[in-house]
Amino acid sequence: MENYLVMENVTKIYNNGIIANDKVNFSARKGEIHAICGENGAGKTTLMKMLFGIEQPDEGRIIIKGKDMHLNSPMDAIKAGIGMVHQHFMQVPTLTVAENVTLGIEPTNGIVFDMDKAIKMTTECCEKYGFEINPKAHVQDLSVGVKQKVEIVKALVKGCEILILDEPTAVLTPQETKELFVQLKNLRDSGCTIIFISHKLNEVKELCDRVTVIKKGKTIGVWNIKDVTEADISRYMVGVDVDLDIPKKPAEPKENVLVVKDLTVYNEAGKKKVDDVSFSVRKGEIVGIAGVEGNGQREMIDAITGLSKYSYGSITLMGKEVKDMDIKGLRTNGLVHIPEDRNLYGCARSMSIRDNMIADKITDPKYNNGLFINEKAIKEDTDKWIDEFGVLCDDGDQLVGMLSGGNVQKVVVAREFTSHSELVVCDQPTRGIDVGAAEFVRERMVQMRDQGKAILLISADLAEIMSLSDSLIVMHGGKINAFFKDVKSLTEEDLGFYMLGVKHMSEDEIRGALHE
Amino acid sequence: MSEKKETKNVFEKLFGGMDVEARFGLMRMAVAILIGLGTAIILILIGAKNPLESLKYFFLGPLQIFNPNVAKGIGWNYFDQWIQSAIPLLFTGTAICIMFSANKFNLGLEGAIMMGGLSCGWVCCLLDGDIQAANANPVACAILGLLVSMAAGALITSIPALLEKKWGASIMVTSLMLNYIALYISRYCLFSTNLRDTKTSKYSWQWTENVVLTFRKFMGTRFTLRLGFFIGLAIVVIGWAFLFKTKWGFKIRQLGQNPSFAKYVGVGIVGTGILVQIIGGAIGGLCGATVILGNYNYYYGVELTGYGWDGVTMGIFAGNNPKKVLPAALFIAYIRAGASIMATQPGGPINELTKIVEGVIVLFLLAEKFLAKTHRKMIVEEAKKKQALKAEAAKEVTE
Repeated sequence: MENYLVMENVTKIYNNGIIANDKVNFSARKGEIHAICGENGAGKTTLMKMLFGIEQPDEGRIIIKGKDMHLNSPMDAIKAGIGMVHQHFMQVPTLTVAENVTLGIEPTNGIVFDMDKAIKMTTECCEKYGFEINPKAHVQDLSVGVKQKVEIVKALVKGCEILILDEPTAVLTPQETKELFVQLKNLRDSGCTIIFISHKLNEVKELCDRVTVIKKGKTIGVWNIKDVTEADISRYMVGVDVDLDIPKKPAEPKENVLVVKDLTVYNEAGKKKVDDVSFSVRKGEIVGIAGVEGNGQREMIDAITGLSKYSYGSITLMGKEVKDMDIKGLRTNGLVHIPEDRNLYGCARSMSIRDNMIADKITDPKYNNGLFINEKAIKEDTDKWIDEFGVLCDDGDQLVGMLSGGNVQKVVVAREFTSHSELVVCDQPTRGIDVGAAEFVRERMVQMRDQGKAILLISADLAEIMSLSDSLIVMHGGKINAFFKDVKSLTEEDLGFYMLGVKHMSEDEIRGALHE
Repeated sequence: MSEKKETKNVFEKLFGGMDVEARFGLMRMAVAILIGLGTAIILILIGAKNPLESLKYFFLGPLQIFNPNVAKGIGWNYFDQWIQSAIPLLFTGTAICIMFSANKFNLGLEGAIMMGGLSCGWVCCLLDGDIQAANANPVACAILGLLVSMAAGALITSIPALLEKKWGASIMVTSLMLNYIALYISRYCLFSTNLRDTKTSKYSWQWTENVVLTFRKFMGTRFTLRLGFFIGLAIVVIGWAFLFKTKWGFKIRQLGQNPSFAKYVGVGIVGTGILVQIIGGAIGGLCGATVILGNYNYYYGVELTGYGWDGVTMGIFAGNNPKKVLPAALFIAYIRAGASIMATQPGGPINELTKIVEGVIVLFLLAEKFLAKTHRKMIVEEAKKKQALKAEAAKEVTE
């Protein structure tokens, strides 16, 4: 079969000097689902950004249907028949599905937007490829799974022949994933080329025809999916076998550190996001929180960590009500927090590694004499931490923005884990970092637990949350939908049912989350 | 050949240790300045009656310690003019560096300078009788004037800060409005209160030269020692130490670099934001007082001084680091002094020429994509060099 798309010796160097792609070769045929696998930070997303015209390669060629292409913007890429579904959906929540789908190619009635035509276009496209979406529904009312379908239809309606999906299943439940796969296979059979980026190898194995593995910005190789096993791909990706099973002793929980009681949080729009939630986290245990994104976890964690205020109920940390505490007060009382968005909250990219590591400790008398900061003490300690937490850098004066995602996360973890702590809130602690760094962070979390800290873990990575948590809370629709005292007997499928709200636990069982 | 190698070594010594960004920043600054000065040269060549003469005065004027005319009792001391123009720049540059470091774009410095000058002038007028009667010490009077001016300046810039905290009003808009309020307060005081000297009608009462002399010591006719310059230098040093060596400065920079991050690590972002504006205003007030005490024995503020805007230019030149305010102030003051010396020569072009030079330089410094291709090239080269070095090191290890 002819190669429909060829990327030849493509190199991309980012402004911070990181070589994201180093002479990468990639090709895809018409009517295949082609997986790109690699650790986070290997350069998958960069490669796709160049294909979609968001970034321009420093070297190399992109050839589509035998023609050399210069894709200077997503508009060029769309014209060339390329569509992309991003990890984070690009949608206007207040508009209808039809309006979102036709955004950029709006049908007009003279000079006015023609709603009927837009609905017709959307319906036709949906019917052609077998998607069931109501074109008149408002995007903000849709579930994550349907939103993703809207995103795909958005690309298809513009006549795309190459569809790029960047980790499409990261936000989906197992059931939604299954449905998506059926539709993707239909698309492939109708002649569409699909590029599927994922690091979930079982999905790659199930869905794809071929797989290209990228490691540290270089192509490792291309294989037919039937010729390789999951273990093979994993080996190509990492170089060693990865073991997600973290050795840990059974937890020995002691007294309560964090007690959340009847917590209700309304968001800025006045919508109830957390609905009467009660649970507690004790010394020496890891409590996991699972749930499909957007079911109140975000708002709850923001309330616990002081990033936003809450409306009703109470949160106590080490026996003290936190409602009127500022973040400084929370931190003094023993809260440390690995935030979900490390670039927004977790670090100041334009400041040095040292400054970032010391950021919350600068008022500590150890690091300042009341007037001036003690640079010597700061240098000594940060050098020690850089070493201890394995931050790969030239030296501590390097700007955090120059580091790769995994190393930025190590800086965040180093800062938080070296501060005085009673409660450790880990919000997606390993999202978007390479396997080695993730393993390191997980080990440190277990270590912190064994030192008697209370750990609250929120993760979208089901394997991670199931292997790390001692007990597990499932959130759905702003409420606690299930509480598992012990995670060992739980299957991923069952967890999916609770996350989707297909199954519910009784009030009595849920009450077990609060230890009194 | 050997000479060439030598120069390369010097270059390496100077720039080799710098990372790409620092090297690029320096280069960008140099190119922007060259373009600015080039513009000046072209304009002078077009406009001046005697271009070569004008160019000489523009570029070398301020270096002449002695103006031949001074001996005849006319004109200025050129070198002194350079130093004198640099004084307010030191203050306002530092003030802007501190405020902009926290991303608080308070442009009320102009108003703070007005209020500082006014309040200091008022103190001097009030105490003048006592000083003449030898009941008060002129030095104490000057110090009191400076302190009061700091309070007045801080008051002005804190108003936008509080308005933002309370009602979310944009600092930039409210501070700009406040400049005019400050100006008209100053005018009101000069024209409608007993500050006004009924004889001159435009200025305040004149106070005794004793206060001025504590500020400006003439060393013969050739050289003037300006205390204001040293106060300005002290402000630069203190401002730098405050911003980079204290925990407060650290928090300010955190707030400026990433406010979400600052909030998350427990910085009181509201309080810190207000604090920087109070400090900025205090320095602005001090600037106003220093200018008055250093040059006049009366208050005359009926127009905005423009020093506040100079502060923004300084901040852009210095990249919000007070350390670089001194060279930036000396540079700007130099071309300003040069231009005004040039303008006093017969047939010389007007001294507003420097505004064009300054404007052009700021334009190029602010244009983010200026020299972007060169920047990319430098980054790519550096990355490849590093990669090659790593590969070599790996090779050595395996061998």
